[in-house]
Amino acid sequence: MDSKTGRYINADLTHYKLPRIGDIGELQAIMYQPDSEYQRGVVGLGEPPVIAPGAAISNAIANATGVRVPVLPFTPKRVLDALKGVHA
Amino acid sequence: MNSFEYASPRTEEEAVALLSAHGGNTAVLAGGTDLFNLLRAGCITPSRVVDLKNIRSLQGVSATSRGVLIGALTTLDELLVHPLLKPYDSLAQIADGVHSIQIQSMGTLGGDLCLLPNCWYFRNGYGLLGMERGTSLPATGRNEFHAVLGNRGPAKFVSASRFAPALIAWGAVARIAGPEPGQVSELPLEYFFTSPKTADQGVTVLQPGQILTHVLIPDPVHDEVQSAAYEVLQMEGLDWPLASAAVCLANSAGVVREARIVLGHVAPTPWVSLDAAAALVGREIDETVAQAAGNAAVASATPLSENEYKVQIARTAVKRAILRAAGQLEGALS
Repeated sequence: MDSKTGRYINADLTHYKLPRIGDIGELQAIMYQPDSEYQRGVVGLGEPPVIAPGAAISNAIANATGVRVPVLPFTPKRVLDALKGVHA
Repeated sequence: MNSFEYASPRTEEEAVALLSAHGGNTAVLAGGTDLFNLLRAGCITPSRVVDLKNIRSLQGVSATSRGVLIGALTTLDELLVHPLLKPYDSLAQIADGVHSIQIQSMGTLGGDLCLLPNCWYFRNGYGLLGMERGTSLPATGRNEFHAVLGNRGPAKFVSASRFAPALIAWGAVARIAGPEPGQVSELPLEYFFTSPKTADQGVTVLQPGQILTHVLIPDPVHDEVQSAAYEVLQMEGLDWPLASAAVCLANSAGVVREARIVLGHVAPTPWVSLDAAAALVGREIDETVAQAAGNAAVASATPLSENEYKVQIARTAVKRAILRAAGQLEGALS
């Protein structure tokens, strides 16, 4: 969103940089289904597994660079700004 | 989309005549990978679209007494596999980096060189300079993908061409037909690109009625030339580089005798860095030397409010392009 004109400036997929299949990498699905969870009725497929990776990758970046990049997605701009101490 | 006339000439002379009509309010269709985006968005409203695809003389790659002549209609996948282009590593690396089979198959070299910017203000109808009521929107608004070099004038967008840096590093020459039928001129590709000063100027020297017909890569004067390109993309899929660099190194006895370094996507035109090249001459390539050239390439950068990170990316692109040319880049791209 452009604050001056109030218009969306990334209303297409050229500028709204969603990750696509090439950005995802190899995924391996491991079904986690112990009886203890089944008995409690805790069942999830699809969205629940999406919750952890962002935090895990964020921790990996912090581990590799020493700085926290607190906002997803971890774009080159956000990572480099964080390294320079610029507020993203 | 506005309606327009469609013309499909068979010769360069016909194309030039067709493009000169309507006061020059005409557009060229080659691969069409971007033209229809521009037409649909209303960024351009030509009265006539001239399809060049049936002009034989604009197709193919041939060897001439002066060097390799590449027709403007040569597609990106042809660049990737053509035997005459095998010595030009940097070109194949860029064609390979366009991670879209559709664009590789349809997109043309001439189209790439004449691409209009991807600046989001331009694509949203604010013109090449992104002006509204006398204010430059990219200068005062969202500019994270805009220019970090050559941005002191009214143009803040970055040149969209991916192949121009590599071709300029090879000393390529643009062959232009028109505006009079039969008229042909040549100029170094470096001077083909312009940074518009006013709203009615474009991103190349082409005037209404002129077309880019060929690119000539002169045979290198040195025996041992290494070349490479390095593009930094945010996404692995279809995306425009945040910054890129292309290099040509002429060596003897392991020492660089002559170097050309050209950056892409960092300025309104492809950006030739004489300072970066000077940092290599007389030296053996290693990481320290490549890093010094990267530093020199961005020493005069003037980032806007949101794009300081691009300076680091451009610096790294130059360093890695040099190491890649010298066969010293580690990792998947080496």
